[in-house]
Amino acid sequence: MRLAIRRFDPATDPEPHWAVYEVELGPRQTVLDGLLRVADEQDPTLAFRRMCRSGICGACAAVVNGRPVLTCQTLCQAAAASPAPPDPGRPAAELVLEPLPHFRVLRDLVVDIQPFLEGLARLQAWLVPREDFSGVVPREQAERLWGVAPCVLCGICAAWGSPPGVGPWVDAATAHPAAVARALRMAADPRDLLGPARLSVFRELGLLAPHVARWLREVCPKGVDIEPLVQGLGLARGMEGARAS
Amino acid sequence: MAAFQARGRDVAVATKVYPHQSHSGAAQGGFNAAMGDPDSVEAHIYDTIKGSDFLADQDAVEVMCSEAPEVIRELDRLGVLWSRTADGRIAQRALGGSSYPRACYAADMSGQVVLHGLYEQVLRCGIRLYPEWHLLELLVEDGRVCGGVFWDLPSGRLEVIRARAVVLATGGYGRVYAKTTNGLGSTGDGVAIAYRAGAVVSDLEFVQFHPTTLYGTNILISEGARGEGGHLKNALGERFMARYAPKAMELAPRDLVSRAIATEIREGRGVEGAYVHLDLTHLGERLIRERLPQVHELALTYAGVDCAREPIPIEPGQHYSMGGIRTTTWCETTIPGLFAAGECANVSVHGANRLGGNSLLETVVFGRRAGRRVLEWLQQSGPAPVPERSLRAFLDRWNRAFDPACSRARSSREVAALRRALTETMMARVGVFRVGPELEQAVAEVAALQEQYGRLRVAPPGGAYDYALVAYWELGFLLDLAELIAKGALRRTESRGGHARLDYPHRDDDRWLVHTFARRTEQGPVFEDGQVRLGRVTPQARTY
Repeated sequence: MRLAIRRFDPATDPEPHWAVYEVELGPRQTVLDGLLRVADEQDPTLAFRRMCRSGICGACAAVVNGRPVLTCQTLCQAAAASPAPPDPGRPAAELVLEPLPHFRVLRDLVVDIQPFLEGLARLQAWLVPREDFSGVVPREQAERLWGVAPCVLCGICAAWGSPPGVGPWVDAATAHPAAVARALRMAADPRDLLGPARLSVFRELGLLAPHVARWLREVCPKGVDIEPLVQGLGLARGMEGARAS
Repeated sequence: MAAFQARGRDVAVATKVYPHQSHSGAAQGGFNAAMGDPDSVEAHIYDTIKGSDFLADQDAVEVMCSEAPEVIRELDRLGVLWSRTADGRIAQRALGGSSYPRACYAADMSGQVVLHGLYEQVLRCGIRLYPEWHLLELLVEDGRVCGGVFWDLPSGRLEVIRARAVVLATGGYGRVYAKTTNGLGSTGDGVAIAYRAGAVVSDLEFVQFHPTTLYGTNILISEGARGEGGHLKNALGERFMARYAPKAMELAPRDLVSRAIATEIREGRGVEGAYVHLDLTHLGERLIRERLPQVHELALTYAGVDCAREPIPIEPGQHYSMGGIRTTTWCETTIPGLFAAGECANVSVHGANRLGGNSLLETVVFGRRAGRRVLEWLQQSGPAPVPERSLRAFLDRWNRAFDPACSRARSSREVAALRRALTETMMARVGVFRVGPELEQAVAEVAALQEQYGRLRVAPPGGAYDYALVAYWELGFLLDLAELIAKGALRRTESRGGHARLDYPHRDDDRWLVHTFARRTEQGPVFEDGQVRLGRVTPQARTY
């Protein structure tokens, strides 16, 4: 299988360039397997993050054939079945790999996720524990929070553009989807000292909630689903389709 | 957890990946804790000791099991997204070797929700983070830890952090084996580094093989799948566990189930001669989607199997490192100022075999204790020495490793080839079943690989994100650990827990109810027996 990878080392390269590698890959091998093969056998300078290789750490996000994915949970054959749109400026290949857009490229497929993580701080997307928590969270309340649990902070929701009229997510003025989703969860979490007051402190949460819910349904590789949360907080106005039954 | 405990002091967390990417996130099953009737701390202690094949230190087990409910409640207060019962309490499920449903869980993302919950708290407290800093060596002067040397992967530079106390929470060494559920970064760095620094390490020959890893990729399929009622079947469609653990069946402890599967395959009853089936089809799609969503997704992605309709092909794979850096129940190692907690430590709560649900628990209980003990240590101890000799010695070795004449691609191919040879040797000769001559062979092969590694020179560091350099350095750790595992396994002429010798098939409490302590010398590791702290439970036959 041919892999075309957009490479860039800001320390030495004036601009990004394409490199092509040929590797043999079995039917159940992932794009990350392909990258590891290239690094071990052909070009050890190729930079890409890797850790769990089972879709749970979120380190290996990249754009494969024009779609943002976790490379470790994307099978090469499946990805190759929907090829990237043709581009005369790029070598032909079954798999075309690029770094996540909108983030600064540190090297090859490694991008700077620091601003994305700092986005969590902007919305204080962490629980502020309350001392008087009884130890009981009613199940229906707990289940609403659950939709956020699969978030692995891979950055795809922030990197991959935004719906019309919203964003771009990763700049100083707008909160990004992962941070919004997590902050909304805190607002609905009975263990949080601030709770619903977060919606007054961070006005953008309420405004962005329906957009973020829709956006995550579209792009999140882990299936983060905050619609029940948004409904529960009474923020569903403007959200397409979904209505509490 | 340790850093959170020590918040407010000058504390920093250095991690080889981003903290939220740590492999703790991959743990699926849950956290054991006796939260109330009919379960009891006593029962948890008993199950853990029995599960350990009586090699656990019973005082350490008592600490872990007694503190468990309190730590789980603290995590709940900090916002962990536990699964809940109908009346809103933390839900619990059965895992292997436990006499009650004891594992507090979050669907099958238990590690992930706690990891992210703690990460958020670390962010809230403003604890300084050094992501993608790889620890290369501990700095020890006059027998006391005074910091560490790190490879700052993003900038491609060496850095030193000076510290009065260092807590290692660096995880296991699964990548010593070709078939492992562990992530690519689980190379045992902390254990090897502590060993090199002179700390006593112990029981490294006890390696857990998880019974249910996806055939081929060895991606973990949670024990929760059996906890929810999944069946193991051989090529004949038999629930073969009836032969090995008639009472506990699929929920016998992992060492036993892994041996049962390996035996079925060896005796020709494997599917296609190579694996067995984990059958969840009778559980129904609804239960699978609700309680085992990740299992469903993993099997679909990596094996192309919809587990609501077809059985999952599975085989045992390395999963957990019981051994590690020897510590007291307060996480102190044999080097003053150096602490260790979690999988990299050997306290020892798991002894010869760990029960499902006890590893995540160990990380939070002993992480918290490590933080607390460090706060006391800071009161008691003077300023740390300035690193001099240890830093010079490190730099000498570091500089010797590189040769500008080396081709980068060739260096990398050599490192990859050595790593492959090592991990395959360990899998073939120091795996689920072991036997003297094979172990001798493994010791010889590891020695030969170490020798080749010692002669290897690699291309000098190549700027930002030089993963090839990291791979070279990690291989050195893997080789040290493989030597300790293989020699420890050869030395221990009995079968106990995860260590199964075909030539010594029985547990031998007269000779071997002891820990394996190892310490580094210029001539290689020196082994000696370490006392097992008994007390409550007297060793007895272990049946399920």
